[in-house]
Amino acid sequence: MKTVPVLEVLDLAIGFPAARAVHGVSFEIHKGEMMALVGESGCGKSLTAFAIMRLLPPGARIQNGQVIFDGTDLATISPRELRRIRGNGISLILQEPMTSLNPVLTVGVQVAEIIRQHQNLSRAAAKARVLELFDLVGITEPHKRYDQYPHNFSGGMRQRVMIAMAVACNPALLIADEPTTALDVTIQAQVMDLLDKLRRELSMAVLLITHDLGVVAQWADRVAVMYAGRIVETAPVQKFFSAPQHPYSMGLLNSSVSNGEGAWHYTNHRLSEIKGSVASAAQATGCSFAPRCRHVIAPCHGGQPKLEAVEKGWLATCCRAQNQEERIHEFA
Amino acid sequence: MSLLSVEDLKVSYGPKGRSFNAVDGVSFTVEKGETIGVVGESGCGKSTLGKSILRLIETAGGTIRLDGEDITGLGHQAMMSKRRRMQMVFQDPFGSLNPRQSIGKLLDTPMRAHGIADKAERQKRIEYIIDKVGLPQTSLTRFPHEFSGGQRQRIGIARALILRPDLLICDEPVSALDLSIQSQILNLLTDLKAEFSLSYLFISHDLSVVRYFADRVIVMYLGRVVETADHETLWRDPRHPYTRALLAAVPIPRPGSRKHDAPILGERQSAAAASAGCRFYQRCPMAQNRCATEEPVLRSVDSGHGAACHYA
Ligand SMILES: Nc1ncnc2c1ncn2[C@@H]1O[C@H](COP(=O)(O)OP(=O)(O)OP(=O)(O)O)[C@@H](O)[C@H]1O
Ligand SMILES: Nc1ncnc2c1ncn2[C@@H]1O[C@H](COP(=O)(O)OP(=O)(O)OP(=O)(O)O)[C@@H](O)[C@H]1O
Ligand code: SF4
Ligand SMILES: [Mg+2]
Ligand SMILES: [Mg+2]
Repeated sequence: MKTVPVLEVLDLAIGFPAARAVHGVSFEIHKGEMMALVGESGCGKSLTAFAIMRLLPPGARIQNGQVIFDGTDLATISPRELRRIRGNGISLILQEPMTSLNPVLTVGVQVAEIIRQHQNLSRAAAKARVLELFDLVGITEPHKRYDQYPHNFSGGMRQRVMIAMAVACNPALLIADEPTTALDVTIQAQVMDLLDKLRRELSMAVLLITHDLGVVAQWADRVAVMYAGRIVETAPVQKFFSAPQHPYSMGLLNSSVSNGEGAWHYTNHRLSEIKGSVASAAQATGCSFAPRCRHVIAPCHGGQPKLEAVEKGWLATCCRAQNQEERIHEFA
Repeated sequence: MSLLSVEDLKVSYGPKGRSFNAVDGVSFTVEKGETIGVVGESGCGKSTLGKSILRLIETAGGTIRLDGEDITGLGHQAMMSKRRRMQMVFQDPFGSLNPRQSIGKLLDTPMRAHGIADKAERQKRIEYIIDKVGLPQTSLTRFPHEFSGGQRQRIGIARALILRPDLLICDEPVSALDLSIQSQILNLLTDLKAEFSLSYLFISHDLSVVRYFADRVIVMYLGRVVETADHETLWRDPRHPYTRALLAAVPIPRPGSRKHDAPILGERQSAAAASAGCRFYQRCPMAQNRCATEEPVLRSVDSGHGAACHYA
């Protein structure tokens, strides 16, 4: 059964005046699906997310490609159209919940304001909707909480408020940029369970940016791996963890401090590293990972390999990815 | 004698009358060559603890001893010489490097401030340390914005090491980094420890990392130590309900292994609102009546293993 994706990003390139940061990224997300975006710090994950919303930082520009949402290309539509979609179609949750709330207004009023900006509701109706949303995201005693200020909320609760705001207008797509990085694991589990519940109940698609592979394994359906501004692999979560195709994906998984049972200690196990640095990608003539790759062969230097299917729904940009038998054997 | 010993340390924030103790009676020791991991949720006082040991924040009570000498009341001058032995890698690798100083300058400044007059000697140390943290010598003429997050983190580590400290306080040194850079940094810290018998106070909310890198662990909750044990014991036999909840909630990087029976905790209270009883009372799945009124003290539950819970 082939469904139309909620979001389709095609060959997206983002540049700064001095250099290009994202080189031709393509992926799609379907209704109710949670897709994780992982990759080396600075590889362009946040830029990609911001570009979808056309909220790029100063200097950055979409240089090429399309962002197809609900049949329209967000990369080219008018600012007015875009505002409508930002409120109703796509929402964004940022890493830092503290700075996103105004400290001098009560939390309830702020959420109600957001709703009224996008939906034609009376004050009373907006308040009723906020109370309903607080309940949905698990904020207990919503009436009392409505009149409290941000500083009365803990980090986890503020993140719930941000989620309530983000889902207020039933978006088809929610983009969450490291939503739990600053939280402890008990709160992280609550926030992720909440996102999981919402995408099931509201059939919302979620693009989750994270560097925590535990979170990816536990909550995502699919994973896209970025390296130096390119997607190097996209795979169903099971496949990614059991038989990663791109050597960078393998390197990431091998770098883990725990072996699942988590019994490693520095006294008995040296962590595996990906030697070298991402800076080498700029000089690469072929595959941008070639300068650091343990599996490099002559064709790797011949040109940037394309994202090609390993099997249905599983793509990788590696000259050697096609030969699965061999790859899996090498990784084991 | 312990390298560092902290006794009943208190640090408070906020205006008089409405202040609260972000660190509230914390005691522990760090031996030479030992790594103490500090874990706990966001806002429990980990960074405050780290900075107050260096006296970058004034303490409100308790004592800090370095090699047995009480440094809690030392004046600015006297404290300078102690800071040479205790350095910190700050939580934010981006904000803690001066953007207008080249890396060479950044590394030279602390040595000049600490009166290392011989220019050739300073240069020798800079070249040595930049190599140790795995950066090319050409880095020295470049500026912080020209480096990636992981490289900046190494620069922060190089700066902290240039004075050859005995104790390094690392505040979330790897939390914002992806796994490949994280393992490079942890391997580096391991090597440095072997080479210089460095001691670490290693602050992190990532339990997998602490499990890998710490010898002993302190679990903090709302400004207090709720449990302390060596790394093996803590993961084998956690006693405090908060520690148990933390360990149970660590997501395992293996699909389909999600435990849906992990204890669900309620929302935390603020330290300011902490009642007379146990600070974990409102979220605790094991709480009894007694916990509401009587605060549990950190007591020994086994040799080298302490917990602050009536029922541990
Ligand atoms: N003003 C700028 N000029 C030039 N390059 C920039 C500028 N701002 C950001 N960049 C570069 O764009 C790249 C992508 O940054 P982005 O924030 O998307 O990374 P990320 O994958 O989200 O990383 P992290 O995991 O660290 O959040 C980085 O390499 C960064 O150095
Ligand atoms: N300068 C300050 N003024 C007032 N309160 C502060 C200040 N710095 C920290 N706090 C408060 O003190 C408490 C402890 O903060 P601290 O930064 O030590 O926590 P942490 O454990 O390091 O958290 P994180 O994991 O988020 O880094 C928090 O409640 C915080 O809001
Ligand atoms: S003392 Fe009581 S409330 Fe506190 S942790 Fe123990 S059982 Fe829970
Ligand atoms: Mg980012
Ligand atoms: Mg901190």
